[in-house]
Amino acid sequence: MSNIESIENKLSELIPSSVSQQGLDRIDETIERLAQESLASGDSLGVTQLEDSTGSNLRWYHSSQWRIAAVFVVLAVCSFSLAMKVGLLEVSLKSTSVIPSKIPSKLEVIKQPEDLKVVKAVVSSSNANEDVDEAGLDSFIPEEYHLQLALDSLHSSDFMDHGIATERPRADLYAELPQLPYGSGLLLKAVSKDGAAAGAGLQAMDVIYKVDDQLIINEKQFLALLAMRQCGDQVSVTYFRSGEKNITAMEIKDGSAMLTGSKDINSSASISDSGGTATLMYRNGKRWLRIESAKGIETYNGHIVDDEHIAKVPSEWRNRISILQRSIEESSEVRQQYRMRYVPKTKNGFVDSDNQ
Amino acid sequence: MVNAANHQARAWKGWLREHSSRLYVYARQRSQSREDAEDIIQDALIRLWGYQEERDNVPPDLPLAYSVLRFVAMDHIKKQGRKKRKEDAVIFLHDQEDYWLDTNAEDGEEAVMLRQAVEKLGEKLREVVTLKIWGGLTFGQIAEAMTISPNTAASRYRYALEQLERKLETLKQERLG
Repeated sequence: MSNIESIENKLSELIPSSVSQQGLDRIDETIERLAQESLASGDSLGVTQLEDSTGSNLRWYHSSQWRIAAVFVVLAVCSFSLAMKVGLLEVSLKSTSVIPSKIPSKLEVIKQPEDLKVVKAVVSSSNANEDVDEAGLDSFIPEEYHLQLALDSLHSSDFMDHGIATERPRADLYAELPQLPYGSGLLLKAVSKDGAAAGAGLQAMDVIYKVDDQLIINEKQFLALLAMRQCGDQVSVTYFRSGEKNITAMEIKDGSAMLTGSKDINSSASISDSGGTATLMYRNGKRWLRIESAKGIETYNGHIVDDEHIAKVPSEWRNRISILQRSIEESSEVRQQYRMRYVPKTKNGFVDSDNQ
Repeated sequence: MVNAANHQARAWKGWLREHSSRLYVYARQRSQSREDAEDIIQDALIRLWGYQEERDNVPPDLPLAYSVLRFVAMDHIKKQGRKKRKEDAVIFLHDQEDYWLDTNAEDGEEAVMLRQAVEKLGEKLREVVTLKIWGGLTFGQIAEAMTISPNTAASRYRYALEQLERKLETLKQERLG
């Protein structure tokens, strides 16, 4: 097998991430809304057919045909009046009626309050299976459903909470720990006080590499190994501390108690301007700030825990710490919430007509 | 009429379910985060719907979808650039868990390096690799989506693999010493 083919095979083994369920739900909602707008404007099918309360059919032809017809009418009127003005044509306007007054345009129909009810009724009935009421003209999904989606997404993210922040060891760590099989193990960046890991005596900078007899390869696999155990089970965790191998027993707690707070620990935020860049991150569960000037000179690198630390931060960056802090917090909150985006209103959409 | 609209919505949803992963990976490699990629897909879908209204609103074929996705992604990057220029300072949030390519547990270090190498590829080369490996397109379809000739698509793909091989070697040497 040539090197190129081998690269091709390795590439196909990488697993691309996929759209989140929230994202799919949002796009599904968009599709439904587009379908409803097409239905309302009649663009996709050429004909819009509405039924009033008496059951008689009201039929209008494709709206774009009337737009084209309107343009021709305007052109005809303009050329007609121009011709009259220059004296080429003398015709009494009373005898010519070029506007088809008997056939209502779509906008005229919708302006009537009774007809508006008909449009609303059709839209509502088209959504009857999804319990959408008349307010669905502005938003097809009722608020209760938004809330439920937000709650669902919060619930599904529980698994990702963990009270130990980990990272994969670098090559130099493997050189220092020859007993640690290359490619295995996780370095504990931080351990939360209330977690099961702390209860088992694990500390930050320990390198865990086995759960019972199973080698730890990455964080997902580690979490999967723990998830297979029942709450209250004991697992033995093998780890390295100061180059020495140790074994400890860890009791599995429920997900939230064992694993809390790493979403903050795993996030960082930086702010840049012409003066340089400040990056706020978490180390050992505490805020850590690093400021670098535009020329690459480090002006601050340390914890931000109390006022004393803040006083040491260059004054022009001091008030930005809270901005960075808020950015991290908001981003972790936003990522857990259902992000609602709406389809832009179309020119022919019934939403515009409703507002008139 | 209502049934026809429901039928269309069902057809598009089915099409989306079938192709969401491959569309997402393309959008994701051109954007900064998962959320941006999902926004790009949504915007592309709205444009595609508009195009397909003239074709009885049937779901589009893949090369057209990728082509639209590509233009929407480019627009998105331009918008981000304009926003960035307007602001005095820009905040970047780094989510270290948000990878667009995941690695098998068994592959370990080499797969991580390969992922880094793919991320460092030039945009044109990365696009072709993404469409070929994870998008499942033929060179002909890639050519159609990217408005290039099939020969150019094939040569870009080969050149990308050669670059990846070299980058992987470099990364391995950097790690080991």
